[in-house]
Amino acid sequence: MVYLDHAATTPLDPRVAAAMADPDVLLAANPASNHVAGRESARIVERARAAVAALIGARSDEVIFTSGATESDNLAIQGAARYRAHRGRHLVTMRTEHKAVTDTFRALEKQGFEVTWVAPETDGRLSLDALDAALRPDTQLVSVMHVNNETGIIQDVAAIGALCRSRGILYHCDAAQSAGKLELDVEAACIDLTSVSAHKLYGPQGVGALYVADRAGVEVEPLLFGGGQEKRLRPGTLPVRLIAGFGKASALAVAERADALAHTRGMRKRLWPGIRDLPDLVRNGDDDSYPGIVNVSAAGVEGESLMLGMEPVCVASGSACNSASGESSYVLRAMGRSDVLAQSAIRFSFGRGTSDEDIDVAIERYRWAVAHLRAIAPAA
Amino acid sequence: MQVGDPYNDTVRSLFRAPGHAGPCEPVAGRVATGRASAASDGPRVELCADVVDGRLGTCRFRAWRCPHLIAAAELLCRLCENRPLDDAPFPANEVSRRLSVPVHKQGLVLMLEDAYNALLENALEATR
Repeated sequence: MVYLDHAATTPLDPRVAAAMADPDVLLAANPASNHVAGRESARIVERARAAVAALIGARSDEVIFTSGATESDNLAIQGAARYRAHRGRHLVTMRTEHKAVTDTFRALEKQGFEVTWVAPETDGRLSLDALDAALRPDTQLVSVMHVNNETGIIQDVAAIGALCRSRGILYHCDAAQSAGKLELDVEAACIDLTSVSAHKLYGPQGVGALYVADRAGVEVEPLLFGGGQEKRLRPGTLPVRLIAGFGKASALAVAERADALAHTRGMRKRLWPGIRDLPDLVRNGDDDSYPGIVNVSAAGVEGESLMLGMEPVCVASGSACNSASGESSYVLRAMGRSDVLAQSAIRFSFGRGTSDEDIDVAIERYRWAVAHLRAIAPAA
Repeated sequence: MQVGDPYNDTVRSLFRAPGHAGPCEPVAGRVATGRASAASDGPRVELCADVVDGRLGTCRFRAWRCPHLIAAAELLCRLCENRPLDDAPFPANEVSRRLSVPVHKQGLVLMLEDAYNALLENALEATR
């Protein structure tokens, strides 16, 4: 098997697994309990919180643990929209955001909020002029991700943050794909709310965090009730083992970020020249995208068949056939790709363990599968 | 959520080596064709076959969409070759059973049946 689906989830780093198996962590008493074991758990949680905060240039007291980026997105967007609803009910996001964001905004639309959906340029990037034009006096929140999960396109979050800050609008950034991989300083970028996830950076599945800037006006209403944990924003007993793993994964990601980025650049540099000469190939991204993701469409083939033809290489596709929604990639269609091209999209995403040999197998399988399926396909 | 492998061994085998994929090259007799598609950009399939002495001869197909459709078209060609035109019903149950076609893809089997029925009609016309 060749695993090139790191944008979906990353394998658990053995060093993270070891940290989670530490005897103190294994005890995992309730950190809210006022006894020796509880206090030790609380120390473990706070060490992890500091490590997660360092990932994004935040302070520890600005980080709230959640079950993952989806919950963080929901808490940030719903929580901020509701908190500020008395000031206005207009919200802005992009058509290319992750479902955790788009579906949350759709839910808010049903609750009477008005959402402006900004389309990207054909290169997938947000035009600041388009964002500026979408903002209104009653706009309360903008949500634009850092790195797109399908294409790897990087948005200029600092420019977006500066624009929002100048208008007194909260800025939420889904950084699930970028945290630990690219430099991100939430304070310098004027980001008020940021979602991150452990399992995208070699940590355990089931834990994430929300950054809530300690700044006047940045408030969110809780979605859940039942306890005072996490500053009363996210009640429930903290999953100490998962949090310890998240902390270790964050520390490793920061320490090894430069090397990891150089490694993924090398993988992209090996993959793309190996397939770019195929006829009618469209790259959904460019050299300025996050190098750990390469997304390509091949006219005349269909993504699900392409995935099967590429086995044992594990990749993701934009095909409608294997999507839960029955639609082809809405991200690629928002970038102006036809439905047929969106159906044919394959996302290769690299990680720490990806080798030159893995890339060579992927190139060979991709070329075979494209040729095979084009030979079978009838004329359009 | 999808659980388990969506493709059985038959689907994998037919998908990887579809011996009947390709353009129709008549050996003898006349060539009958049938095609069907779901929408302009949707799944589509083309079938063709030699018509020889009131029978379907060599069958060929082309298909675009998911592995189940490609495998189903290949299986159909294998099952229908040399069948008499007046006794060649679409083997819907056999296709669905052998390929374990999931419920949400049964529409592709119906589309293949449409293409096959068009092929048979065209073949019968050719013999009149």
